[in-house]
Amino acid sequence: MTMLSDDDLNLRHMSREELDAAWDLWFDLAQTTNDHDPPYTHGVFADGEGARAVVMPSLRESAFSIVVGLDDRRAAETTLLANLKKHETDVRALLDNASSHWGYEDLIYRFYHQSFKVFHLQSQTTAIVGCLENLMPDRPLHPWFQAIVAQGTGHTFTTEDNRHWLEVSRPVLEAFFHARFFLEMAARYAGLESPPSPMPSGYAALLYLYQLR
Amino acid sequence: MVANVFFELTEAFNAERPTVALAAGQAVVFYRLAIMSKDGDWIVRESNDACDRVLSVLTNRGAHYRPSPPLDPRWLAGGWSSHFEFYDDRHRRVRCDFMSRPPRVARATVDAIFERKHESPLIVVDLESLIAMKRTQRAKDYAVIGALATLLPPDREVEVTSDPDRLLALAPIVGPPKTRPRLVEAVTRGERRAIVIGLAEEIDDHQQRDRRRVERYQAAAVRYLEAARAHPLGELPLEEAHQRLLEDAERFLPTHLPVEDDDDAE
Repeated sequence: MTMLSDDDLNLRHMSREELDAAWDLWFDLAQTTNDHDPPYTHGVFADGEGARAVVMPSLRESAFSIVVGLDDRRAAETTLLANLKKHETDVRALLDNASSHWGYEDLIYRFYHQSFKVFHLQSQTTAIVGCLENLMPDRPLHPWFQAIVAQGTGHTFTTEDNRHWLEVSRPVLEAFFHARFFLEMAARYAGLESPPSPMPSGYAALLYLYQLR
Repeated sequence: MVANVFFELTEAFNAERPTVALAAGQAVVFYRLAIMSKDGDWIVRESNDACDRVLSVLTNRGAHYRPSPPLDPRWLAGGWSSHFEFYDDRHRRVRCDFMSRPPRVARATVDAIFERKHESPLIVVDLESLIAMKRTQRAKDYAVIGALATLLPPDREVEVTSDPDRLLALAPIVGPPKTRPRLVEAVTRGERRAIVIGLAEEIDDHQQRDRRRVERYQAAAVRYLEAARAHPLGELPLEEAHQRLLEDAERFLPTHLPVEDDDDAE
Protein backbone atom coordinates (compact mmCIF):
# COMPACT_ATOMS: atom_id res chain seq x y z
CA MET A 1 0.00 0.00 0.00
CA THR A 2 1.32 3.45 -0.85
CA MET A 3 1.66 5.39 2.40
CA LEU A 4 3.31 8.54 1.07
CA SER A 5 3.59 9.99 -2.41
CA ASP A 6 6.58 9.54 -4.71
CA ASP A 7 7.32 13.24 -4.26
CA ASP A 8 7.76 12.66 -0.55
CA LEU A 9 9.84 9.55 -0.92
CA ASN A 10 12.16 11.27 -3.40
CA LEU A 11 13.73 12.90 -0.35
CA ARG A 12 15.52 9.62 0.28
CA HIS A 13 17.75 10.15 -2.70
CA MET A 14 18.75 13.72 -1.88
CA SER A 15 22.09 14.77 -0.52
CA ARG A 16 22.09 16.81 2.69
CA GLU A 17 22.56 19.97 0.61
CA GLU A 18 19.69 19.08 -1.69
CA LEU A 19 17.45 18.23 1.25
CA ASP A 20 18.28 21.55 2.91
CA ALA A 21 17.55 23.43 -0.32
CA ALA A 22 14.22 21.66 -0.80
CA TRP A 23 13.26 22.31 2.79
CA ASP A 24 14.31 25.95 2.54
CA LEU A 25 12.11 26.48 -0.50
CA TRP A 26 9.21 24.75 1.22
CA PHE A 27 9.69 26.82 4.38
CA ASP A 28 9.62 30.03 2.30
CA LEU A 29 6.33 28.98 0.71
CA ALA A 30 4.89 27.86 4.02
CA GLN A 31 5.33 31.34 5.45
CA THR A 32 2.54 32.62 3.24
CA THR A 33 0.02 30.72 5.34
CA ASN A 34 1.24 31.87 8.76
CA ASP A 35 -1.72 34.15 9.33
CA HIS A 36 -4.09 31.37 8.44
CA ASP A 37 -2.62 28.54 10.44
CA PRO A 38 -5.26 26.72 12.43
CA PRO A 39 -5.69 28.01 15.98
CA TYR A 40 -4.46 24.72 17.39
CA THR A 41 -1.08 23.48 16.42
CA HIS A 42 1.19 21.21 18.34
CA GLY A 43 -1.16 21.19 21.27
CA VAL A 44 -1.29 24.97 21.60
CA PHE A 45 -4.69 26.28 22.56
CA ALA A 46 -5.07 29.68 20.93
CA ASP A 47 -7.98 31.86 21.93
CA GLY A 48 -8.48 33.52 18.58
CA GLU A 49 -6.36 36.56 19.33
CA GLY A 50 -3.13 35.51 17.75
CA ALA A 51 -0.46 35.05 20.37
CA ARG A 52 -2.78 34.36 23.26
CA ALA A 53 -2.73 30.69 23.88
CA VAL A 54 -2.19 28.06 26.44
CA VAL A 55 -0.31 24.92 25.85
CA MET A 56 -1.79 21.53 25.80
CA PRO A 57 0.44 18.52 26.28
CA SER A 58 2.86 17.90 23.57
CA LEU A 59 1.95 17.39 19.98
CA ARG A 60 -0.90 17.93 17.62
CA GLU A 61 -4.40 19.21 17.69
CA SER A 62 -6.95 18.61 20.36
CA ALA A 63 -10.36 17.18 19.64
CA PHE A 64 -11.79 20.65 19.93
CA SER A 65 -9.44 22.03 17.31
CA ILE A 66 -10.54 19.43 14.82
CA VAL A 67 -14.19 20.31 15.35
CA VAL A 68 -13.53 24.05 15.06
CA GLY A 69 -11.38 23.58 11.97
CA LEU A 70 -14.02 21.50 10.25
CA ASP A 71 -16.78 23.96 11.08
CA ASP A 72 -14.75 26.82 9.70
CA ARG A 73 -13.96 24.95 6.53
CA ARG A 74 -17.57 23.92 5.99
CA ALA A 75 -18.73 27.50 6.45
CA ALA A 76 -16.11 28.75 4.01
CA GLU A 77 -17.06 26.06 1.49
CA THR A 78 -20.70 27.14 1.70
CA THR A 79 -19.60 30.72 1.03
CA LEU A 80 -17.55 29.55 -1.92
CA LEU A 81 -20.54 27.77 -3.47
CA ALA A 82 -22.73 30.85 -2.96
CA ASN A 83 -20.13 33.12 -4.50
CA LEU A 84 -19.61 30.79 -7.46
CA LYS A 85 -23.31 31.08 -8.17
CA LYS A 86 -23.34 34.84 -7.60
CA HIS A 87 -20.41 35.47 -9.97
CA GLU A 88 -21.16 32.72 -12.48
CA THR A 89 -21.83 35.18 -15.31
CA ASP A 90 -18.47 36.89 -14.83
CA VAL A 91 -16.67 33.57 -14.51
CA ARG A 92 -18.19 32.22 -17.73
CA ALA A 93 -17.48 35.42 -19.66
CA LEU A 94 -13.85 35.30 -18.64
CA LEU A 95 -13.64 31.60 -19.46
CA ASP A 96 -15.16 32.22 -22.88
CA ASN A 97 -12.45 34.76 -23.57
CA ALA A 98 -9.74 32.43 -22.27
CA SER A 99 -11.08 29.72 -24.62
CA SER A 100 -11.52 31.89 -27.70
CA HIS A 101 -9.48 31.96 -30.87
CA TRP A 102 -7.61 35.17 -30.04
CA GLY A 103 -7.53 34.69 -26.29
CA TYR A 104 -6.35 31.09 -26.28
CA GLU A 105 -5.73 29.29 -29.52
CA ASP A 106 -3.68 32.02 -31.15
CA LEU A 107 -1.65 32.88 -28.07
CA ILE A 108 -0.55 29.31 -27.44
CA TYR A 109 0.36 29.08 -31.12
CA ARG A 110 2.55 32.15 -30.61
CA PHE A 111 4.71 30.21 -28.19
CA TYR A 112 5.72 27.75 -30.91
CA HIS A 113 5.93 30.58 -33.43
CA GLN A 114 8.36 32.29 -31.01
CA SER A 115 6.38 35.48 -31.04
CA PHE A 116 6.34 38.06 -28.27
CA LYS A 117 2.54 37.88 -28.44
CA VAL A 118 2.65 34.90 -26.12
CA PHE A 119 3.33 37.42 -23.37
CA HIS A 120 -0.16 38.80 -23.93
CA LEU A 121 -1.33 35.77 -21.96
CA GLN A 122 -0.14 37.56 -18.82
CA SER A 123 -3.01 40.06 -18.90
CA GLN A 124 -5.47 37.18 -19.09
CA THR A 125 -3.76 35.39 -16.23
CA THR A 126 -3.94 38.53 -14.12
CA ALA A 127 -7.61 39.02 -14.92
CA ILE A 128 -8.42 35.39 -14.09
CA VAL A 129 -6.53 35.54 -10.80
CA GLY A 130 -8.44 38.70 -9.91
CA CYS A 131 -11.69 36.90 -10.63
CA LEU A 132 -10.66 33.88 -8.54
CA GLU A 133 -9.61 36.12 -5.66
CA ASN A 134 -12.93 37.91 -5.86
CA LEU A 135 -14.76 34.62 -5.30
CA MET A 136 -13.28 34.34 -1.80
CA PRO A 137 -11.84 37.76 -0.93
CA ASP A 138 -10.98 36.78 2.63
CA ARG A 139 -8.97 33.71 1.79
CA PRO A 140 -5.46 33.71 0.32
CA LEU A 141 -4.98 31.51 -2.70
CA HIS A 142 -2.85 28.41 -2.42
CA PRO A 143 0.82 29.43 -2.03
CA TRP A 144 1.97 27.16 -4.86
CA PHE A 145 -0.55 28.77 -7.17
CA GLN A 146 0.59 32.19 -6.04
CA ALA A 147 4.20 31.24 -6.72
CA ILE A 148 3.36 29.96 -10.20
CA VAL A 149 1.42 33.15 -11.02
CA ALA A 150 4.20 35.37 -9.67
CA GLN A 151 6.72 33.67 -11.93
CA GLY A 152 4.45 33.86 -14.95
CA THR A 153 3.27 37.46 -14.82
CA GLY A 154 4.82 40.92 -14.82
CA HIS A 155 7.27 40.06 -17.55
CA THR A 156 8.02 42.67 -20.25
CA PHE A 157 9.32 41.20 -23.47
CA THR A 158 12.77 42.18 -24.73
CA THR A 159 14.60 40.84 -27.78
CA GLU A 160 17.06 39.20 -25.39
CA ASP A 161 14.22 36.88 -24.40
CA ASN A 162 14.47 35.21 -27.81
CA ARG A 163 17.83 33.79 -26.77
CA HIS A 164 16.23 32.13 -23.72
CA TRP A 165 12.82 31.47 -25.18
CA LEU A 166 11.83 28.40 -23.22
CA GLU A 167 13.20 29.78 -20.00
CA VAL A 168 11.20 33.01 -20.16
CA SER A 169 8.02 31.97 -21.93
CA ARG A 170 7.19 28.67 -20.24
CA PRO A 171 6.40 30.26 -16.85
CA VAL A 172 3.97 32.59 -18.66
CA LEU A 173 2.21 29.63 -20.23
CA GLU A 174 2.26 27.64 -17.02
CA ALA A 175 0.67 30.45 -15.02
CA PHE A 176 -2.03 30.87 -17.65
CA PHE A 177 -2.78 27.15 -17.78
CA HIS A 178 -3.15 26.92 -14.01
CA ALA A 179 -5.31 30.04 -13.81
CA ARG A 180 -7.48 28.91 -16.71
CA PHE A 181 -7.89 25.46 -15.16
CA PHE A 182 -9.24 26.90 -11.94
CA LEU A 183 -11.50 29.26 -13.84
CA GLU A 184 -12.86 26.30 -15.80
CA MET A 185 -13.49 24.38 -12.59
CA ALA A 186 -15.20 27.42 -11.08
CA ALA A 187 -17.56 27.54 -14.05
CA ARG A 188 -18.11 23.78 -14.01
CA TYR A 189 -19.14 23.65 -10.37
CA ALA A 190 -20.94 27.01 -10.14
CA GLY A 191 -24.32 25.27 -10.20
CA LEU A 192 -23.80 23.15 -7.10
CA GLU A 193 -26.29 23.65 -4.30
CA SER A 194 -24.18 21.85 -1.73
CA PRO A 195 -20.76 20.18 -1.45
CA PRO A 196 -20.72 17.15 -3.75
CA SER A 197 -20.22 13.62 -2.52
CA PRO A 198 -18.22 11.89 -3.83
CA MET A 199 -16.04 14.87 -4.54
CA PRO A 200 -14.98 15.34 -8.18
CA SER A 201 -11.26 16.01 -8.65
CA GLY A 202 -11.80 19.46 -10.16
CA TYR A 203 -13.96 20.53 -7.24
CA ALA A 204 -11.36 19.19 -4.81
CA ALA A 205 -8.72 21.21 -6.67
CA LEU A 206 -10.85 24.33 -6.17
CA LEU A 207 -10.92 23.62 -2.46
CA TYR A 208 -7.15 23.39 -2.52
CA LEU A 209 -6.97 26.72 -4.33
CA TYR A 210 -8.77 28.37 -1.43
CA GLN A 211 -6.93 26.25 1.12
CA LEU A 212 -10.10 24.57 2.20
CA ARG A 213 -8.68 21.08 1.84
CA MET B 1 24.55 27.61 2.03
CA VAL B 2 20.93 27.33 3.13
CA ALA B 3 20.24 25.15 6.13
CA ASN B 4 17.20 23.80 7.85
CA VAL B 5 16.82 26.21 10.75
CA PHE B 6 15.50 23.41 12.97
CA PHE B 7 18.56 21.23 12.27
CA GLU B 8 20.78 24.23 12.92
CA LEU B 9 18.96 25.03 16.18
CA THR B 10 19.34 21.42 17.32
CA GLU B 11 23.09 21.72 16.85
CA ALA B 12 23.11 25.02 18.77
CA PHE B 13 21.15 23.58 21.70
CA ASN B 14 23.52 20.61 21.84
CA ALA B 15 26.75 22.53 21.31
CA GLU B 16 27.95 22.04 24.88
CA ARG B 17 26.34 18.71 25.80
CA PRO B 18 23.32 16.64 24.73
CA THR B 19 20.34 18.83 25.61
CA VAL B 20 17.60 18.17 23.08
CA ALA B 21 16.58 15.60 20.49
CA LEU B 22 14.75 16.71 17.38
CA ALA B 23 11.31 15.09 17.16
CA ALA B 24 8.00 15.08 15.29
CA GLY B 25 7.78 16.60 11.80
CA GLN B 26 11.37 17.77 11.52
CA ALA B 27 12.57 14.33 12.58
CA VAL B 28 10.49 12.97 9.70
CA VAL B 29 12.41 15.36 7.43
CA PHE B 30 15.67 14.12 8.95
CA TYR B 31 14.68 10.55 8.09
CA ARG B 32 13.92 11.82 4.57
CA LEU B 33 10.32 10.74 4.41
CA ALA B 34 8.31 13.91 3.97
CA ILE B 35 8.37 17.68 4.43
CA MET B 36 5.11 18.44 6.15
CA SER B 37 5.74 20.62 9.21
CA LYS B 38 6.96 24.16 9.59
CA ASP B 39 7.39 24.02 13.35
CA GLY B 40 10.15 22.44 15.39
CA ASP B 41 9.52 20.01 18.24
CA TRP B 42 12.19 18.78 20.58
CA ILE B 43 12.48 16.42 23.49
CA VAL B 44 14.49 18.37 26.06
CA ARG B 45 16.54 16.70 28.77
CA GLU B 46 14.58 17.12 31.98
CA SER B 47 17.00 19.24 33.98
CA ASN B 48 17.57 22.85 34.96
CA ASP B 49 20.78 23.13 32.97
CA ALA B 50 19.06 21.85 29.82
CA CYS B 51 16.22 24.36 30.22
CA ASP B 52 18.72 27.16 30.83
CA ARG B 53 20.63 26.21 27.70
CA VAL B 54 17.48 26.23 25.55
CA LEU B 55 16.35 29.57 26.97
CA SER B 56 19.80 31.04 26.39
CA VAL B 57 19.91 30.02 22.73
CA LEU B 58 16.35 31.22 22.19
CA THR B 59 17.10 34.55 23.89
CA ASN B 60 19.97 35.08 21.48
CA ARG B 61 17.56 34.51 18.61
CA GLY B 62 15.12 37.12 19.93
CA ALA B 63 12.48 34.53 20.73
CA HIS B 64 9.46 35.17 22.90
CA TYR B 65 7.17 32.82 24.72
CA ARG B 66 3.90 31.79 23.26
CA PRO B 67 1.41 31.48 26.10
CA SER B 68 2.43 28.14 27.51
CA PRO B 69 3.82 26.58 30.66
CA PRO B 70 7.29 27.81 31.60
CA LEU B 71 10.20 25.74 30.39
CA ASP B 72 10.92 24.22 33.78
CA PRO B 73 11.55 20.61 34.79
CA ARG B 74 8.66 20.66 37.25
CA TRP B 75 6.04 21.09 34.55
CA LEU B 76 7.94 19.25 31.87
CA ALA B 77 7.92 16.22 34.16
CA GLY B 78 4.14 16.43 34.27
CA GLY B 79 3.82 16.09 30.52
CA TRP B 80 3.37 19.77 29.67
CA SER B 81 5.16 21.43 26.80
CA SER B 82 6.60 24.93 26.33
CA HIS B 83 6.26 26.96 23.14
CA PHE B 84 8.31 29.79 21.64
CA GLU B 85 8.48 31.81 18.48
CA PHE B 86 10.98 34.06 16.73
CA TYR B 87 11.70 35.41 13.25
CA ASP B 88 14.88 34.42 11.44
CA ASP B 89 17.10 36.80 9.48
CA ARG B 90 14.86 36.31 6.44
CA HIS B 91 11.81 37.30 8.49
CA ARG B 92 10.44 33.78 8.51
CA ARG B 93 8.46 32.70 11.53
CA VAL B 94 10.15 29.93 13.48
CA ARG B 95 8.11 28.15 16.13
CA CYS B 96 9.83 25.94 18.69
CA ASP B 97 8.09 23.49 21.03
CA PHE B 98 9.69 21.53 23.86
CA MET B 99 8.66 18.59 26.01
CA SER B 100 10.53 16.11 28.14
CA ARG B 101 7.88 13.40 28.51
CA PRO B 102 6.69 12.62 25.02
CA PRO B 103 3.44 10.69 25.17
CA ARG B 104 3.63 6.94 24.77
CA VAL B 105 7.42 6.83 25.13
CA ALA B 106 8.97 5.15 28.15
CA ARG B 107 11.06 7.32 30.43
CA ALA B 108 14.01 4.96 30.11
CA THR B 109 13.89 5.32 26.35
CA VAL B 110 14.05 9.11 26.64
CA ASP B 111 16.91 8.91 29.12
CA ALA B 112 18.80 6.60 26.79
CA ILE B 113 18.66 9.19 24.02
CA PHE B 114 20.75 11.56 26.08
CA GLU B 115 23.01 8.96 27.66
CA ARG B 116 24.03 7.53 24.31
CA LYS B 117 27.26 8.77 22.77
CA HIS B 118 26.50 11.03 19.83
CA GLU B 119 28.93 11.74 17.03
CA SER B 120 27.02 14.84 15.93
CA PRO B 121 25.14 17.56 17.81
CA LEU B 122 22.25 16.93 15.43
CA ILE B 123 20.56 14.53 17.83
CA VAL B 124 17.29 13.10 16.55
CA VAL B 125 14.77 10.93 18.31
CA ASP B 126 15.00 7.24 17.40
CA LEU B 127 12.54 5.76 14.93
CA GLU B 128 10.44 3.72 17.34
CA SER B 129 9.97 6.64 19.74
CA LEU B 130 9.07 8.86 16.81
CA ILE B 131 6.48 6.32 15.71
CA ALA B 132 5.01 6.19 19.23
CA MET B 133 4.81 9.99 19.32
CA LYS B 134 3.06 10.00 15.97
CA ARG B 135 0.11 7.99 17.31
CA THR B 136 -1.94 11.16 17.61
CA GLN B 137 -5.45 12.12 16.58
CA ARG B 138 -4.39 13.06 13.07
CA ALA B 139 -5.14 10.54 10.36
CA LYS B 140 -2.19 11.56 8.23
CA ASP B 141 0.26 10.62 10.99
CA TYR B 142 -0.59 6.96 10.43
CA ALA B 143 0.59 7.19 6.83
CA VAL B 144 3.85 8.61 8.15
CA ILE B 145 4.05 5.75 10.66
CA GLY B 146 3.74 3.25 7.83
CA ALA B 147 6.59 4.93 5.97
CA LEU B 148 8.78 5.29 9.06
CA ALA B 149 8.25 1.63 9.90
CA THR B 150 9.88 0.56 6.65
CA LEU B 151 13.16 1.91 8.01
CA LEU B 152 13.08 -0.59 10.89
CA PRO B 153 14.31 -4.22 10.89
CA PRO B 154 11.52 -6.63 9.86
CA ASP B 155 10.89 -7.97 13.36
CA ARG B 156 10.25 -4.43 14.60
CA GLU B 157 8.44 -3.21 11.49
CA VAL B 158 5.81 -5.91 11.94
CA GLU B 159 5.08 -4.57 15.44
CA VAL B 160 4.40 -1.00 14.36
CA THR B 161 3.53 -0.74 10.69
CA SER B 162 0.17 0.70 9.63
CA ASP B 163 0.42 -0.94 6.20
CA PRO B 164 -1.63 -4.13 5.74
CA ASP B 165 0.46 -5.25 2.78
CA ARG B 166 3.65 -4.98 4.80
CA LEU B 167 2.08 -7.10 7.53
CA LEU B 168 1.22 -9.74 4.96
CA ALA B 169 4.70 -9.61 3.47
CA LEU B 170 6.51 -9.68 6.81
CA ALA B 171 4.51 -12.43 8.49
CA PRO B 172 6.14 -15.37 6.61
CA ILE B 173 9.56 -13.97 7.50
CA VAL B 174 9.21 -12.95 11.13
CA GLY B 175 5.83 -14.32 12.13
CA PRO B 176 2.77 -12.38 13.23
CA PRO B 177 3.15 -9.35 15.52
CA LYS B 178 3.58 -10.21 19.18
CA THR B 179 2.27 -6.96 20.65
CA ARG B 180 -0.82 -6.31 18.53
CA PRO B 181 -3.72 -8.43 19.75
CA ARG B 182 -6.18 -7.00 17.23
CA LEU B 183 -4.02 -8.26 14.38
CA VAL B 184 -2.43 -11.54 15.40
CA GLU B 185 -5.19 -13.84 14.21
CA ALA B 186 -5.81 -12.06 10.91
CA VAL B 187 -2.11 -11.91 10.09
CA THR B 188 -1.64 -15.57 11.02
CA ARG B 189 -4.44 -16.53 8.64
CA GLY B 190 -3.27 -14.07 5.97
CA GLU B 191 -6.70 -12.47 5.70
CA ARG B 192 -6.11 -9.05 4.24
CA ARG B 193 -9.57 -7.63 4.86
CA ALA B 194 -9.47 -8.65 8.51
CA ILE B 195 -6.05 -7.04 8.81
CA VAL B 196 -7.37 -3.80 7.34
CA ILE B 197 -10.25 -3.80 9.82
CA GLY B 198 -7.91 -4.63 12.70
CA LEU B 199 -5.60 -1.77 11.72
CA ALA B 200 -8.51 0.67 11.54
CA GLU B 201 -9.65 -0.37 15.00
CA GLU B 202 -6.13 -0.11 16.33
CA ILE B 203 -5.72 3.40 14.89
CA ASP B 204 -9.05 4.46 16.36
CA ASP B 205 -7.88 3.16 19.75
CA HIS B 206 -4.77 5.32 19.48
CA GLN B 207 -6.75 8.37 18.39
CA GLN B 208 -9.32 8.11 21.14
CA ARG B 209 -6.64 7.52 23.75
CA ASP B 210 -4.75 10.62 22.61
CA ARG B 211 -7.94 12.65 22.57
CA ARG B 212 -8.73 11.74 26.18
CA ARG B 213 -5.19 12.60 27.20
CA VAL B 214 -5.32 16.02 25.58
CA GLU B 215 -8.72 16.79 27.05
CA ARG B 216 -7.46 16.15 30.57
CA TYR B 217 -4.63 18.62 30.08
CA GLN B 218 -7.00 21.09 28.44
CA ALA B 219 -9.26 21.07 31.48
CA ALA B 220 -6.33 21.47 33.87
CA ALA B 221 -5.00 24.52 32.01
CA VAL B 222 -8.04 26.79 32.15
CA ARG B 223 -7.02 28.97 35.09
CA TYR B 224 -3.45 29.19 33.90
CA LEU B 225 -4.68 30.37 30.51
CA GLU B 226 -6.53 33.24 32.11
CA ALA B 227 -3.40 34.33 33.95
CA ALA B 228 -1.15 33.97 30.92
CA ARG B 229 -3.51 36.17 28.90
CA ALA B 230 -2.67 39.10 31.13
CA HIS B 231 0.95 39.25 29.96
CA PRO B 232 2.14 40.87 26.71
CA LEU B 233 4.34 37.86 26.05
CA GLY B 234 5.15 38.90 22.51
CA GLU B 235 6.74 42.08 23.80
CA LEU B 236 8.45 40.88 26.96
CA PRO B 237 12.10 39.80 27.01
CA LEU B 238 12.23 36.05 27.28
CA GLU B 239 13.71 36.03 30.77
CA GLU B 240 11.06 38.36 32.15
CA ALA B 241 8.27 36.40 30.48
CA HIS B 242 9.74 33.22 31.92
CA GLN B 243 9.62 34.63 35.45
CA ARG B 244 6.04 35.79 35.06
CA LEU B 245 4.90 32.45 33.70
CA LEU B 246 6.70 30.64 36.51
CA GLU B 247 4.74 32.70 39.03
CA ASP B 248 1.46 31.97 37.23
CA ALA B 249 2.25 28.29 36.92
CA GLU B 250 3.09 27.97 40.60
CA ARG B 251 -0.33 29.39 41.40
CA PHE B 252 -2.55 27.85 38.75
CA LEU B 253 -0.96 25.01 36.83
CA PRO B 254 -0.68 21.56 38.39
CA THR B 255 2.71 20.05 37.76
CA HIS B 256 1.25 16.58 37.50
CA LEU B 257 -2.14 15.32 36.50
CA PRO B 258 -3.49 12.10 37.94
CA VAL B 259 -1.90 9.20 36.13
CA GLU B 260 -4.14 7.22 33.85
CA ASP B 261 -3.42 4.11 31.88
CA ASP B 262 -3.71 6.14 28.73
CA ASP B 263 -0.52 8.01 29.50
CA ASP B 264 1.63 4.99 30.12
CA ALA B 265 4.39 4.29 27.73
CA GLU B 266 3.59 1.40 25.48
